[in-house]
Order: sequence, then structure tokens, then C-alpha cells
Amino acid sequence: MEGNKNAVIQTALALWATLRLMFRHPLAKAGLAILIVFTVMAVFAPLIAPYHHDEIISDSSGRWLSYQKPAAKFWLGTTDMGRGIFSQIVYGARTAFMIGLLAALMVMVIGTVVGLVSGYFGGWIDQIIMRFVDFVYGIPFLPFAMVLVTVLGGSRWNVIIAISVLLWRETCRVVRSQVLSLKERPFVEVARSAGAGDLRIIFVHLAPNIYPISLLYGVFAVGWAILTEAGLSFLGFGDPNSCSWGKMLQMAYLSQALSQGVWWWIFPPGIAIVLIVMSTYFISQGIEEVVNPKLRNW
Amino acid sequence: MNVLRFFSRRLFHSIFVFLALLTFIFFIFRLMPGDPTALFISPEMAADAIQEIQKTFGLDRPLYIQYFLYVINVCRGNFGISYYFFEPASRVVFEHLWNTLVLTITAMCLSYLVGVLVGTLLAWKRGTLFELGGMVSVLILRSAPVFWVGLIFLYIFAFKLHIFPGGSMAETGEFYGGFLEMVLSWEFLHHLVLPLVSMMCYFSGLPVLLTRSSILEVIKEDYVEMARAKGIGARRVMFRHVTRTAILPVVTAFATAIAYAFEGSVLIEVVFSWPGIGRLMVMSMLGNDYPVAQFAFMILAAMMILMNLLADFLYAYLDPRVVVQ
Amino acid sequence: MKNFLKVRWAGILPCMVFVFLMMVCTTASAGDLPKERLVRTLRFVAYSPGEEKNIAEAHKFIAGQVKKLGFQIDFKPMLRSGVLQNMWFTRNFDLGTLWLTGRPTRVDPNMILYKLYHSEQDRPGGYNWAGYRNPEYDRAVDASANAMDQEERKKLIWKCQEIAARDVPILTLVHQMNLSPYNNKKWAGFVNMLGNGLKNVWSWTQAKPLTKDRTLVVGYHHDVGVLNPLTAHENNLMICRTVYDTLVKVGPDGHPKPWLAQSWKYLSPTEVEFYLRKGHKFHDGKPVTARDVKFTFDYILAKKIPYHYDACKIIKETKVIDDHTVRVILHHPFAPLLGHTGEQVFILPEHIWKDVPEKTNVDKAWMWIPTAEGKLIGSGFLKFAHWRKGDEIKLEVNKEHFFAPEYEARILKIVPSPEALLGRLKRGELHIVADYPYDGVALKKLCDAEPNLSLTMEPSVGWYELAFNCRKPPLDDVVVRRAMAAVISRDVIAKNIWKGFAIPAYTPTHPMLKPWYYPDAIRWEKLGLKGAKEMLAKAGYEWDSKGRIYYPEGKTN
Repeated sequence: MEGNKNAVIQTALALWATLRLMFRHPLAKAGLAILIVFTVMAVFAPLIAPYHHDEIISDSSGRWLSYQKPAAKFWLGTTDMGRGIFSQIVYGARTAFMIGLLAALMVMVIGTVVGLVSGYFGGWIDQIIMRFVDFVYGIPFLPFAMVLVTVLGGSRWNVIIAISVLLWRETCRVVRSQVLSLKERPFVEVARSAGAGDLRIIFVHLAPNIYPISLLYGVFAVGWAILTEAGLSFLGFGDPNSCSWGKMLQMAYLSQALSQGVWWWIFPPGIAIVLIVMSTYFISQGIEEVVNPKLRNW
Repeated sequence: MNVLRFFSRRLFHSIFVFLALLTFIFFIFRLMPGDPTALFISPEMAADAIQEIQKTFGLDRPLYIQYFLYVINVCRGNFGISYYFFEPASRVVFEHLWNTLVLTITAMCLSYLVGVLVGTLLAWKRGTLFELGGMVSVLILRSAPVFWVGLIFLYIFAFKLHIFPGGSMAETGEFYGGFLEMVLSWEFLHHLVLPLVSMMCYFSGLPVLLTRSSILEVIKEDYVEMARAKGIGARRVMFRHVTRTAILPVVTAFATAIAYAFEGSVLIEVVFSWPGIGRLMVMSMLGNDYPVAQFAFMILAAMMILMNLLADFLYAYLDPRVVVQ
Repeated sequence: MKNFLKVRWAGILPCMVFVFLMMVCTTASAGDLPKERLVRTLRFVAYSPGEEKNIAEAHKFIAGQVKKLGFQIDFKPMLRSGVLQNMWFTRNFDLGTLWLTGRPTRVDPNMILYKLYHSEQDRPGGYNWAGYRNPEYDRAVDASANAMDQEERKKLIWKCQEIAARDVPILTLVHQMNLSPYNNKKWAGFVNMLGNGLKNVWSWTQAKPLTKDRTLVVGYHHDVGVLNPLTAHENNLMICRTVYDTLVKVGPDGHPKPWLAQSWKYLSPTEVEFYLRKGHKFHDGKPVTARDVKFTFDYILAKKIPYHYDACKIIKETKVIDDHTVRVILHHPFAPLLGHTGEQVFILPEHIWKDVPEKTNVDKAWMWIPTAEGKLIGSGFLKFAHWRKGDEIKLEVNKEHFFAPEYEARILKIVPSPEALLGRLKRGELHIVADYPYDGVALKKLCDAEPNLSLTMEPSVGWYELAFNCRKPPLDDVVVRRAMAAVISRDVIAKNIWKGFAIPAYTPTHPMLKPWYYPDAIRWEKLGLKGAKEMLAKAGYEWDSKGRIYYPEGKTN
């Protein structure tokens, strides 16, 4: 009982120490700041956005106010059907976070667990798992996501599944190689001779050393997931009911915003994606210095 | 002997994985909704015609028979007839494959060339503002969706400034003598620039970062200290000794990156209407042309496996310690 | 610790009781009407914006409007393949759209009025996807096909439209505009055809080059699938209509004009003789005779060619009277013979097609690829030259044709991206885009800004519709359909969603199609939301406190 409580506390402390170290890097701080802005946007979307993302803005005669330039009334202008672009950006943050975080969580969990199990147990378990990972590596990412969304239907959950189902392979490989090198270290031997079972060794002794790299790939996964969702939505394989930045770009493309010079529809969604993905990269810079101390400048 | 065993084992594994993929591909494509006969529906048609079409494409047989036929056909190199073109799916896909290869391989080679150079430069300028600025720029480019970058380039250089054509692959009415002639013609290159640069913006990111971090690692190694101690100039140290070793992970990343580039090209091909395998896949999936979508998917999977295999071999060749494992 | 928990429980219990009571109250107040009468959630099979942006938007709008009547909607956007699966094959929908594009064969009203509304077509594979069954309507439309007298036929066709508007199994929404931008400095002479825009054979035959450039470059947004006169693909038809001849062609005013058949005569209501032009040849030099016409009709009927079978099944027998005279004997009088069969069936060269598919490597004639063997031979005004897959199709002018154009060649350039299409048009690389499928606003802006670009807009003879699945309640009740029609303003849709690039379709026929257009079709939207609710209330429908609609007494799902 006590031992487990200790283990949990130790894990929490290790994570906290990692996080603190992570955010010493100036880029990581910048990334965090950007992320916080978007988080506020996502959480308080109905309060911040002047209109609902699907709401059609019409004038007193009932005419839909399409293609309005950015003005005091519409901060970023309107779309082809008279929807507020600023409102769509704000609501889009919700989708981005939902997909990014959930996909990243699944990637982290699946990749780490599989990597841990495979690396630790070795032998035929490792062989089978690695064959399976090879199989997963052979599946082209975007085409498969397209197929899966077509088969399962276009909804946010299916997009998340489609992304997570393949993205964990990187994490798994990296975690596994890390485990392989850690497996032979003295502290594992000590734990084993003290009578610790396999599961305990994996999750209590090995895992804390894996967290930094796990977290690193988790953070990457947030960015990749958001980019992939944008790509899928742009091609038409996204969730038709939700509002995402990728879908905004798709609608802009379909409405030929470029040739009409509707720059206020094309730039904001792209910039939003750039900012949020960039913030994940910045944060990962902080983690990388934790993971690889050789990279530390101080 | 060890090396040979290693190579043959990896090869055997890859073949096994590919076979598993073939089965997987069959099943997921059978789960796709929509009937391909939908392509042919028109009020001018008779009702029993639809059953005719279904029979022709073998869609009225039970699933296990379809799978059996599928396996046999694949062994014979018959990958089905395109519902849209009425041609062998393999022919349709291969015609488009060359277009993608030209774009993708050129983009990746250039990206990695430029990436390595820039990465070395950034590592060289370690700790300066230049490095920070460079890193931030690279990260910004890596954060931008590749199709968005393509759209912006299209907007500025094709529609506003009229310097480059607005998509597609070649000009009107020109009848090139063959694929090679077309590739080497000015019109083709003119059309290639924007999609190429768009892809490079995104794909240079990884080699820059990888090269830089790899060099930073190597630079702290003992033998570099030794070289410095011997009195060899800093620049020579960098470009002769350090880069050679640091390049290792970049080279292996290159092999895997080519595999990923194929799917990255899907988005670029759609934006620029480049008639490649990526765009073919999207259109055939939206249009229910399953044999073509299926074969395109198969080809992409085969390339992924091949590239991963190559990457493994390359890594083993460059770092023999891996073989022992 | 334990005491603390005890106190907590003391507080929690009354809260739970309170919440429970509230739930009971709210559900009780909503349950003042019996549950069995609650109208089920309706399945709206809608489009993803990627497929067709405007109709997807229209669906959203319609769903919002219908909800105002108290109906619960399960809104399911999907790709066209999914829509076809649900509406065409499994009929698993309550509301949905399967639109019709504009084609010359659809100018004659019989095609649409028969196929979409006749009860005989309400079967697997039939075109009556709404499931409308009305014997009165069936009689009217059958009689209209048999009526050879123009005045009598008009009365019957008007009657069909009147019934259709009254019962509204399908609410025709808008006729989309066919947009055809072209370069007026390089070309002139394009002809605007009713319901089809500039995309018609009259344009292609009468176009005149104004500069030294004598190759007409036509932009098209789709890849061509297969070039075979026996298949139905849209872009394939664009090519085949120029490479092959038909007996007649529907003219710019919507009525059949002589083509391969110089004239014709009705010997009796079921016998018609066609007199072919003399001296006309196929592209390989062999003469076009009555034998080729007979061969074509017999071939289609014998081989049950899917695309053409329906057009030919009216034919009982074809007789060759002499080299240039063909007698066609029908099973019964058929007024749309010229506009449908005459316009649609491509006359095939017997010497090539008699071996197909027996001596080829395919099972079915419509799967054969004539271009692979250089056998896309017709007698039309354009000859097949080459096809670069995914890029372009080049056709050369057949100077011996009776309507041979003035230019030298025509290239169909495949440009799938709207940006590229507009850009190339602007730069003069494309001379005309025959059927511009994308946003009209962008196109109009471009054409207004460029003096060398002109834009022709012509309402299509096809339309977008909202189909109701009349087979099951609640949509089997005509009052419900009328009420829904009452809250859907076609004007709002045409003005705001299509931005004026579509006109409201109050009846299935084209407004300029005289004499078939019926101007007095009932417009339920005059009632509006208030009138709709009154109509429903009068029929016994009721609403609960949440606004959900319930069936009248005695009716259920």
C-alpha cells in the first residue's frame, strides 16, 4: 500500500520536475503563452465569438451578408454565405484542441505501453509486436485516414481514431529503443532482486525514465494531429458538422476565395494552425533539452 | 554471414508484412460504402442494366469468393479494372505514378540538400541570434499546412503576379515525344516550380533540425576535440569530420522521408491539380472507383515498406552495430 | 471523517429528491400528448460541401426551416456515393436530393415527368425515388407520350405538372445556371441553347475563329473516364456528341432539328420514315447508310446496352427501305421519339461494331475501349485525334460533314482546379469553358473585369430538388409535404445561396420551354410558416410544450 503511494508520488514529482525544466527554455515559454491564448479561446468560445460558427448574418431585408471585408462589425469579415470568420476561428480552436489533445493522448498511451511491453519482455512477444509495428509502418498515413473516414463516416471521433490508429508507431519505436537501453541498467537489476514483479518494474521503475520522451512525442503528436485533420478536412474527409480551421480552408478553396481576393478567409485559418502547431514545437524544444542534455546551452 | 542473415531476415519480414497488407487492403476497401454502379446511373438507363453492371464487376458474389479471386488475381498481376476508365487499374495508376515520382523525388532531394546545408549553418552559428531566428523560421514552416503554403504561393505567384501557371502539369496542345522529353521541357519545369517549392518549404524542416542536433551531438565527441587539438582549423573540422558522421541519421531519415513524401504530395497534387497518384487516390475514392483506389493504396504501401527496408539496410550498412542486435 | 460523511448524506438526499421531482415534472409536462403519436426523427440525407457546396448549404437551410415546424431532423451530410446508396439503392431516407443535370435529351418533358413520377418507376433501380404513386398522374403522363397532337399533348403535360405541384412528392428547388465564359476576342458564333447554355453542338458547329489561332480550346473540370458511345458518363457524352451523328438534334429553341436525317415523315402514329443525307461518310471513308441505322437500333436492343436501351425499347422493328431511307416501327405512339431517341442514340458504323464485343477482349460492348484500337470512328463533325489521359482530348474537324465548322481542331483541356481554370481563361490559354461548375460570383467578377471575356448564363433544363420519401409516414401525408414546401423559400435559396446564379424552379419544366412550361403551378411557399402551421393544425397535427409535432388522432409512425 505504502509502496504504491510512494511510487505514485515519485512519478508525480518526476513529471513536475520535467515540466519545470521544460519551461525554462525561452521558446517553450513562448509556446506556452500562445497555447494559453488558444485555450482561453476554446474554453470561452461562446462568450468570445460574436456569432455562432454556423450562423448566417443577414441584414434587415433578409439578404445574407456574404463576402464582407473585415470591419468593426465583423472583425475578420464574412464567408461566402455570410458567416463570421472570427467566430469560426474561435470555435475552430475547440475542434483543434479536441482533436489534437485526444489524438495525442491516445498516441502517447498506446505508443508508450506497447513500446514498454515490447522492449521489456523481449523474445517472441517483442518479435510479434515489432512485426505488427512494421505492418503499421507500411500503411500510408493520409490515404488510410481517408479510407477509414469514408468507411466509418465523417465525424470528429472517426477523424481522431483515423489519426491515432497510425500515429503511435513512431512513439512505440522510440520508447522501445529507450527501454532496451535502460533494461540492462543496474537499478532494474536491483529492483528485480528485491522481488519486484514485471509489471511493477515496467510501470514504477522504467516508466518515469520514459516519460520525457513519451511526453515529447505526445507534444509532437498534438501538432501532427492538427495538421493531419486540416489536411483531411481540406480534401473533404473531415467532419461536416464541426467547425475546424482545415474545413474553413476547404470552404475557402471551394468558393475560390483566392481568385476573388478574399484574403480574410484564407490567411486567418492558416495562421491559426501555424501558431498552434508552432507552439507545440516550441514546447517540444524545451522537452528535447530535457531528453537530451547534450543540447542544453545552460 | 551475420550480415547476410540480417538482410535476408529483414527481407523475409517485409514480404510477410506486405502480404498481410494485401489482405488488409482488400477488406477495408470492401467496407467502403456506395456501389460503383452509382457511377453509371442516369435516367436514360434501364433498371436491369444495373444488375448487368454489378454482375460484370463481380460484385454480386459472396465476400469469401471475392477474396479468393482477389488473391489469385494479385498473384497473376491482375489488379482489377477501373470502374471509371474501363482500363486495368494498374495501368491507370502507373501512368499517374511517374508524375508523382518526378515531383516527390525532386522535392525530397532538394529539400534534403538545402536542409543539410542550412542545418550545418545553424549548428555552426550556435548560440547566436541568427540561429534562433533560423530555428524559429524553420519551425514556422513546419507548422504551416503544406496545402496552405501551396495556396498562398498560387495566389501570389500565379494569380497576382502571373509569373507561374496556375496548376496542372503541361501546356496546351503540346505533344511531347515521350515522358523524358516532357520532363526536360521548359513548360514542364515552369509548371513544376510552385508545387516543388511548396513541398520543399515543409520537408526541409526535418533535415535542418536533424542535421543541426546531430552535429551538436557529434561536436562534443572526443575525436572532434582530438582534431581541434591537432590544430586542424575549425571549418575543416566542421565540414570534414563532423558532418560526415552527423549525416548518418539524416541519410536514414531521407529514406523514410521519401515514403512519407508520397502521401504529403496528395495535398499538393490536389491544390495544383498535378495528375499524380495522390490526386488519383482522392478522386477515385470520392468517385467510387475502388479498383484504382485500392491499387494506388497498394502501391503506396509497397513504397512505404520498400523505403523502410532500404532505411534499415542503409542504417545497418552505416552502423554495423545494429546487425548484431 | 465518518460524521462528516453522515452530514453530507443528509444534505445530498433532499437534493436528489428535488432533482428527481424536477425531472418528473418536465417530462410530465411534455408528455401531455401520447408518445405513440410523436412523429419520429426524419432522416435527411444531405451533401457534404466538398461535393456540391451550394446544395449542401441549401440542405442546411432547409433543415433549419423544417425544424421550425416541429419536426426532428437527423441531418446526415455525406458524399454522393453515400447519398446514392441511401436514396437510390436502399431508399433509406426521408428527405434528400439527387439532382438532374441539364442535357439535350431532357429538354423534352417526357423524360423527367415519366421517370420521376410514374408509379411503374417505383421499384428497385427505378427513377421514382420519391415513391410517388398516383394513378391519375400515371394516366396523364402515359397519355401525353402517346399524344401526337401538339395541343393535346400540351394539355396533358400541363395536367401532369399541375398534379405534381399539388401533391408535391418532389419539391423542385432551383434551375442552376449553366455558366459559359468565353474569349470574345478570339472566337465568336457560339449559340445559346435553351437549358444547356453554350455547351451544345450548335455552338461547336457555328463557332468562328477571329484570330489566326484556329484550334478551339475548351476547358473542362473533369477527367474523361472512357470514350465509348455506349456509356453514360457526362464528359464522354460531350465528346461522343461531336464524333458521332444522331438522327436529329434538339435545336436551340428546344425542338428537334434535322441532323443525319434530313427529314422524316409519319406514315402512321406508330410508323415513321427517316430520310438520311446522301453522300455522308464515316471518318474512315465508308458511307453512312440506312443499314447502319438499323444495325444500331437492333444492336442496342439485342445486347441490352444499359445507357441506350430505354431510348430504344419503344422500337418494335427497323426496316431498311433503301440506302438512305429507314422505317422505324414503334410498339405504340411515342411523342418524345425525336427529342429522346432521335437525339440520344449515336449511329454506329456497322462494319466496326458488328464484331464487338465478340472479337474483342472485353465481355460487354459498353466496356470496350475504341480509342485503344483507333476505332472511335463516327460520322460526326469532329474526328478523334488523340487523348492524353488526365490532360486533354484533341478532335479534328471533319471537313466533309454537312455542318462542318470553320476552325481546324478542338481540344478539350482537363483542368480540375477552379483556380487554374480561371487563371488559364484569363491568360487566354482556354478559349471557352463550356460548363463552368464552380462559384458564379468569382467567374462573373473575372469576366466583368476582363474586356476580352464574355459570360453567358442560361438556366439549366435540369434542377436540384428536395425529394420526400412518400412511402412512409409522416411524408406519405400530402399535408405534411405541403407544409414543408410552404416554409422553404426557393427565392431565398436562389438569391442567397446560389447568389443569383440559379432561378427558382416552380415546376419541373424549364420556364423558357414553350409550350410545355406550366406557369400556374401552385407555390406553397406563399403560405409561409404561419400558413403551414395552420394547415397542419387543421389536419389534426399537434405540438407539445417543447414544440415537437405529433400525428393527428389515430395516426402513428
